[in-house]
Amino acid sequence: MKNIYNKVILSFLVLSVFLLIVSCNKQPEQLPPIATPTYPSGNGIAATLAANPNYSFYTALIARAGLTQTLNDNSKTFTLFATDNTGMKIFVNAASGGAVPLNAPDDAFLGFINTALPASSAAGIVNYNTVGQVFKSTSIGTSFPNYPLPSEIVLDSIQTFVRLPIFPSVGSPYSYVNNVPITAVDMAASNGIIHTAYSIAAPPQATLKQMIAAETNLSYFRAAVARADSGSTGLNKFDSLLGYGVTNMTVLAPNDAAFQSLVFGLVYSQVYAATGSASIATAQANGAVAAGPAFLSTNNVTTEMVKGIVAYHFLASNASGAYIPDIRVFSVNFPITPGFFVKTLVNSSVAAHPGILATPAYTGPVVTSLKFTGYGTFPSGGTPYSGTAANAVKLDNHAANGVYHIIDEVLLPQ
Amino acid sequence: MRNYLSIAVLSFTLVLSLGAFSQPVIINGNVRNSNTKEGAGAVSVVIKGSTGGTFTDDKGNFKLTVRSLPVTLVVSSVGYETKEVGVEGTALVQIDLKPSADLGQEIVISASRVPQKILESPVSIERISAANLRNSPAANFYDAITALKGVDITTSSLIFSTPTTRGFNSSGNTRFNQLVDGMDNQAPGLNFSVGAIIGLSELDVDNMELLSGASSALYGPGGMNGTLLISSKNPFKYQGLSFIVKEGFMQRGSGVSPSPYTNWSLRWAKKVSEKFAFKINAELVQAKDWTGNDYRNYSRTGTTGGVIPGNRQTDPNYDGINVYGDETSVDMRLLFSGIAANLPGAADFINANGLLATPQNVSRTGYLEKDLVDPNTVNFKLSGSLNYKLSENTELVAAGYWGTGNTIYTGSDRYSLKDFKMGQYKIELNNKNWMLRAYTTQENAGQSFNLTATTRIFNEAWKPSVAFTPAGTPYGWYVDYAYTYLSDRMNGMNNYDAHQAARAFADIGRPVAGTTAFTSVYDGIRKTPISKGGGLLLDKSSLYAVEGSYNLSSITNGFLDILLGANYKTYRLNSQGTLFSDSTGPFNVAQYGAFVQLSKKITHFLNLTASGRYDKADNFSGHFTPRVTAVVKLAENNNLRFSYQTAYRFPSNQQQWINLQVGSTLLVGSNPSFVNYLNLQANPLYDAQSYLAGNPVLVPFPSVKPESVSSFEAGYKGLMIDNRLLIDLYGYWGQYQNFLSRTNTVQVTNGKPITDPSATVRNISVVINATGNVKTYGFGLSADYRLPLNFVIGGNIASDNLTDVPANFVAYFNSPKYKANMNFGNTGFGPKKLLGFNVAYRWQEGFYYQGDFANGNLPAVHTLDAQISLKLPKTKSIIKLGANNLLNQYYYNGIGNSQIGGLYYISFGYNVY
Repeated sequence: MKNIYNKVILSFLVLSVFLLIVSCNKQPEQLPPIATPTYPSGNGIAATLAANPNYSFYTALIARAGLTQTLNDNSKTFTLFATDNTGMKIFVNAASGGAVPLNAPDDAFLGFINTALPASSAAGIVNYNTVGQVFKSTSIGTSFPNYPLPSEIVLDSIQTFVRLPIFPSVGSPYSYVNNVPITAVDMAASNGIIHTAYSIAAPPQATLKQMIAAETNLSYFRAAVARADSGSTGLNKFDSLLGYGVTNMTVLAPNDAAFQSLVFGLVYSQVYAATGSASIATAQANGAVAAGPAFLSTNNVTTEMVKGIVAYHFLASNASGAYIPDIRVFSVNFPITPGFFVKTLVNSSVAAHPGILATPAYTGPVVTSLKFTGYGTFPSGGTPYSGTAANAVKLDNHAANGVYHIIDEVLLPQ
Repeated sequence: MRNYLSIAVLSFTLVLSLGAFSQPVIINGNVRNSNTKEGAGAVSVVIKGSTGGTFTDDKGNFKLTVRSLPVTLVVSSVGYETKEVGVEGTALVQIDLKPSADLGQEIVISASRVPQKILESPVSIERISAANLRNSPAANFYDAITALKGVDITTSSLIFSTPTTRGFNSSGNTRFNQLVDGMDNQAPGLNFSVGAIIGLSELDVDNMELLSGASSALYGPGGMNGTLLISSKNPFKYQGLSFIVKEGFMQRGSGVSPSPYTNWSLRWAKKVSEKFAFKINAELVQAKDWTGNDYRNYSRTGTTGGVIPGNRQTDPNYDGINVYGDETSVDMRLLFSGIAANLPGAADFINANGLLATPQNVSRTGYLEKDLVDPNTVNFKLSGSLNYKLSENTELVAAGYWGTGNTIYTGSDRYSLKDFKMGQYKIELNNKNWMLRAYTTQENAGQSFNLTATTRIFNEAWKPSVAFTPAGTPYGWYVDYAYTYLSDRMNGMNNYDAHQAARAFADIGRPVAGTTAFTSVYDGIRKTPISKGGGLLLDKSSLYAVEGSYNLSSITNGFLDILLGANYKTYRLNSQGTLFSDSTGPFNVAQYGAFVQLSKKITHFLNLTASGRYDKADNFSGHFTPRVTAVVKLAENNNLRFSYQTAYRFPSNQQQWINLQVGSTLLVGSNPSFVNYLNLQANPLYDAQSYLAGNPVLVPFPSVKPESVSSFEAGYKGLMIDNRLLIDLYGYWGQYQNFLSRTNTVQVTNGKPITDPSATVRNISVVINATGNVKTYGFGLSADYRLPLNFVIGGNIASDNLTDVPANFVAYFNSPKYKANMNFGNTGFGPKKLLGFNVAYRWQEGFYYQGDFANGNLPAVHTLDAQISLKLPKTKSIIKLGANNLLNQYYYNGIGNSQIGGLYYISFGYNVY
């Protein structure tokens, strides 16, 4: 009996040991984890520039801006539009008002950067030259007019993605940042890429409205804007658009002479048609010109007419599905392609309008001549119209919310 | 003369004697276990040759009134060898019963609705007796079912397990009937039984009988996959005061302190007279429950999906299985495209970083289940009955069962059944030949709430996902997120870091679970009805039923056994619009049916039975279900069984009447009234898959039929080796038709044509009958061997398989291909045979689990349960040391369900028999 008892106990023990061994539950299947990103090591953008003697001035600029650590941060990636020492000399020479001549010793440039240049200005420049993420030259789009990218200058403290844009463009054979030629591309750093601009692409300081207000030969244009805006409100007013910080516009601003010419011609033709007298017409036309910009607020012109003319001087695109003034076209962005037309705000009401014929001429990477021609074939079936070509007499006036080119003729949409 | 005198004296004596014997004689006796000399309670003591008899009380005592002596008493009880004792005098009769060494001697009732030996059952049946429960290591008696062959269990929480056989299990199983003392135990609103939360207490369980497979023919619609019948102890038979105090602890996961575990039960039954007896039961279970802690990432499309890589850090659109609130997901392109269109200088950056090219879904930050669910689970049950014998053969029973508890249920979402209450009340007349019963089930969902919906609403209450100021400016969590993300990308951050920073910013001020700031808002939402924008389930549905049966065998005199029965039940659905389409008030859904069973012993070795049942439910045409069985007696205690059974199920109340928004999908029932409710004549449904593929296909509102299964089974049950080895073997094949399932559709919400790109749609899940017939087959084999010295070793293995599954068909089969149990135990060994023990091991193969809430691979499960006990005869008590999941190997048997850890207890039982 005891023998059986022992066997039973033994079998129980064997069973228990067996069960102990196999009684091991697996945890629910775990899928391979998604790898978290690892940060690169090595020289960041600031360190890469610092290691290159051709960039010692820009390196000093970065240091003055207090952004060395940021630009060496390997947890982030950047694209920097830097400038080599040659370009920096041009910048310092200009920024110092000529106090630091181009042939000054390097220490003079460094001294200006390290002391005379306010740190906030340095930060503004470097932040404006910096874009988060890597944009190699090959990844910068080539569509007209350029490839706006948000810089590190934040315009809205709440919606911090509202940035002051910088405008690289890749053309053939030249590439630019804003209207500054790029001389070298794709210098690699551990945390990004560096493109070299011929000179500093400086951040704009004021809005179009402020800058245009300060132009002494745009008083007619300002009067035209005021007349065109009468009866309008909000962002339907050109004036509001010009003062709105986050728009992205290109304005072709006819100078006073251009408007005077227009006024003269307008009055002359009206009076001559009424009187048949060239002298009367000339006298009255001269009188109208003498009245100055106030003429545009008189009943001699209609608001609709002025509005149409002003709208024709705001370039537009329909990238968003409707024609709005959302392109910033630097002189270097107008393609050399013959017969290139750019649309305007007139297209927002007359979609078929051909726009404005733009004709640039280059010497090397620099635009030496830029003409705009008002061009109309509407209303449909009407007489084709081609106005006198306007010359851009002051190019690339860069504001925070756009760029304006001063031209010497008023362009007429019809 | 002398002779005459003698005759006269004799006659006088006889007269005197007859006169004396015409007075009733009271026999007092006591029945003991011959081994332990313990009093044996609930032992049947019957006068041979009559129907009169009684039961011993809890001390083994009995008192029997007879007309005369001598008599022969037949003393019997399950687990003992039957003994006949002659009684000639009125002295105390001491009877020692020898524990039976034979297996397979149990009597079962449910297989044919008449008592029969389990060995002669025509269909597969398993039985757990009170004696089995006494020696089971299961902390909760209900979990003892797990050890039966072919049983699959889905464990939702400490007190809520859902069994099934032959596949198709889930947290709430609507294809498995559970009858407690003859009453359908389902919660009327939920349409499934909530384990043993409501029903009998451990001490009152007389037996549990499990019918595997289809069983509608005798028990009505619903028993597609099996029926569990739990019967309580009759107070005439089981008398006295009993209690069990269990104390222990439960492991709740690494890093979480173990929870104390308490389980007290009490039973008091008294036979007041030969005609009247009553009983009262109470049981309390208290612990901190297991919770779901599966934090794997889940990709959800309607009611399908799967586990995908990633976590909260690495996947911005992370949707953790047991994390709630993170189901809210928005494609950030909605915001990015607006920024690109309106902010010159941002569009090229946004495009260059691919933020508009592919979906940029981001989910809101969720909360872990363990932080949302009150882990304190209390299950309290109270029940009682009054039993009155109208005659020797007719007993009137009035009984009530009430329970309340907290648990978690996994349906289309996870639900916290909090302060869930259910009561069942019946009046029953039991006669030897007939039965009449009326009962009602009253459900109250208490403070039950939808975890997913409540947490998503909480997130919105704390911070809206996207809202607009009166001026039309967007604001909210996603606006903060998108703005921060984009800004950080512009600052040079990589995608990963920018998502972390954006989430951190959007989550600033997010209430921490458990803080006052959190609970004050969260509790407000979970206590607000779903119909009023909260998460509270207001289910006060009820069931009223009447049923009866008559056994005509006494009339047919053995020529042909005939059993007739009929039932009527009506559900009163009352969810106040929080579950069903009953916002205008409760409504009724009725079902009725009748059955007949004919049984004929053709020869001494062949017994045939044929049954048929007809059922009719509101909104559905009638349905007939037949059953044919044959038992072939190969030899004494060796039988072959064959059966063809059918079962079917009307769509559950939820499948007919649900109207519930779950996540981004509206679940609706199959009732045709939804056609008007959803305005489908003017605004029809389209198939969701074809809509997403850009080619929307019109879907008429499905007309749904009941689903059905036809099953053929063959089996063998027999005793061998001197009745020491019990073998049970079955094989089955089944075919399911009109399988009830769901499909996803869409409906336009903005009046545009469906093909218009600007059309907006909502997701609506409708009930369908799946096309194609799926088939199941499998087998089960068990062997129990009685070793010397009362040791018993046993094991079983079962296999369930699904075939012919049509492509893209989600069957929710949820059964491992193989599962096995082994057990080894002894109910009495050692000194004076006072020691007992049981070791039970269970294994199931891993399988792919499918559920509306989540799908995924379930790993294999091994569990080891054990108990060792010591009887203290002098105090009629027993001390038990037990462990469930002894090795604390965490497991779960449903994706999204709680992880079950070890449970260890010591119990003291008094007068447990």
